[in-house]
Amino acid sequence: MAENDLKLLGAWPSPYVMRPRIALNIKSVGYDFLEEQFGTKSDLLLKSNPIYKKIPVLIHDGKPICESLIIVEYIDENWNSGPSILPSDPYDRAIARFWATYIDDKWFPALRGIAAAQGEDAKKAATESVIEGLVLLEDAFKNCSKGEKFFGRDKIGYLDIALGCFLGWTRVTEKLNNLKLLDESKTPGLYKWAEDFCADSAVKDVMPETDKLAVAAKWFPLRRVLAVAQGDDAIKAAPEPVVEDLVLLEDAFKNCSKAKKFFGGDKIGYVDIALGCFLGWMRVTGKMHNVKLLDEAKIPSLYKWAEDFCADSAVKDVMPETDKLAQAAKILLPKIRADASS
Amino acid sequence: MANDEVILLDFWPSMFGMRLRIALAEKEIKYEYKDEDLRNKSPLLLQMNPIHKKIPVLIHNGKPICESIIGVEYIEEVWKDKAPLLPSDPYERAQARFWADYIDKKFYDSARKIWATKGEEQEAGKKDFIDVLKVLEGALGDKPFFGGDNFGYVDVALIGFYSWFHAYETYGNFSTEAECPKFVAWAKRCMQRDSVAKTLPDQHKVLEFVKILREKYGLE
Repeated sequence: MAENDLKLLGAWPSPYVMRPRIALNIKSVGYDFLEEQFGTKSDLLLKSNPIYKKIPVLIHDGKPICESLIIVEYIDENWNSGPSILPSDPYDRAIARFWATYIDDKWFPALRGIAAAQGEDAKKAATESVIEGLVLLEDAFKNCSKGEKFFGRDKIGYLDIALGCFLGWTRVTEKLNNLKLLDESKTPGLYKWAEDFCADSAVKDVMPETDKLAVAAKWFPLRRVLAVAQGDDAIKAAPEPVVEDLVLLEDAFKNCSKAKKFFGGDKIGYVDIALGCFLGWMRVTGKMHNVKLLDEAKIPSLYKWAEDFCADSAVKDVMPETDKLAQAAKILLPKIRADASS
Repeated sequence: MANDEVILLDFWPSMFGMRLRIALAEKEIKYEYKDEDLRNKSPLLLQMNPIHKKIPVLIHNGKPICESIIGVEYIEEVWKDKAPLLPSDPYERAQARFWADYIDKKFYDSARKIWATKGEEQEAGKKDFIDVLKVLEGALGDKPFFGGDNFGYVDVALIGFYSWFHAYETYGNFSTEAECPKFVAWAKRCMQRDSVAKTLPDQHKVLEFVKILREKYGLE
């Protein structure tokens, strides 16, 4: 239970949410972390951030503060007896804010651009712009760190937080696209910094594991692909990315589960729930498209996981029967398609 | 502070440059104003803002500060003894930064659609713009200024756009007074301050400038 009345609305995969968490760790301030469920927005979120309806939101004594970097500055100013997060010199502060703005406005959108790129040429161009950005940031790192470990010099500061929160997604992008973005030969300073950042006590517990993030990255957007495909070609093609990604998830499952039953180990965890809730729909979709999505030959571990998941006592009574879902699908799908095309 | 060298690289109609001009005026800081020709950017601008190559750039004793809001915070922190623009309470400061950021995210793009586009896109821009004004009116409430009784950070971030309103109203064919009277009252209140009145260009001059831009875009 937090000593202050301090709540943070967020979600574990979000790099923006990680920023205030790191800041609060630096200040050794306790808080209640209220996890938003993917795909829904809680009443508290809608009430606390009516303008953007986005996480993170910090609620201190009932008063909301929105926008991740604004929250970090608030934390720094409100708990001003703890280690400082922004530099003390006004010019250094201006430089830190400049690069944080650059990261948010230019660099992270470029990183997201790699996943969105269609075709080899587009992917190559997107990758180059990310690497160019990292070269600029390497230079900024040299100037800010002045030979020490972090942008904030001897300890993590504002700019470390602003950039470091994206390391998880950087690694996922590298993994899923078979790329090297943080290259020790091109950006040696940043390469080392990334290791030091992730090892820092304020960061370690809030940086998600790359494999868990890979699951979130691939699966969450895909759930609509199956539902909204229209026309024979699209319907035939729709399962392909799903099947490809299930193969990737097979790999992620092996790494996360470490030979145990679930992503969460011996017991069902967050990722099991996030993925497992779609098993019903996967079966229905498989039936409708006449394709085996959970193919024991292709993805034996996930196949077994699916059986174990559905048999689990926490799941059994809430997992709908495939036939009932198929009937619901007949009614719901036209509506989902109509929503998607509007 | 004596012996401070302050230079502002700017462009007269820029509502972002106006933020710095107003902040410098509020703090009574002497500076050299350099108007840039954006089609032919000066070597100084390219040297001082190599990443974005944009105005405004504040140069203090040879060191550049880019991005207008960052520049306002810098001015506030360096010349902290005169005319404070931010409140001292951390929560109030967070609110001020939130609204300045909202203005940066929402105001410019919707306003631009009003004069730089036509047809459906322009109508959509106009609707968004009025929605944004209404949100800002909500944030202002019954206070004379966004921060309360005193002119401050959010007012500085926003008021420069007011010099473009004659252009918005002309090309968007609407009246701000009719849609958002509170907003207009706030703007007129700000215009009573010397720092604002002496900074904002004449609205007709801005209209002429926008007309030239529209000709370039083939809209006239």
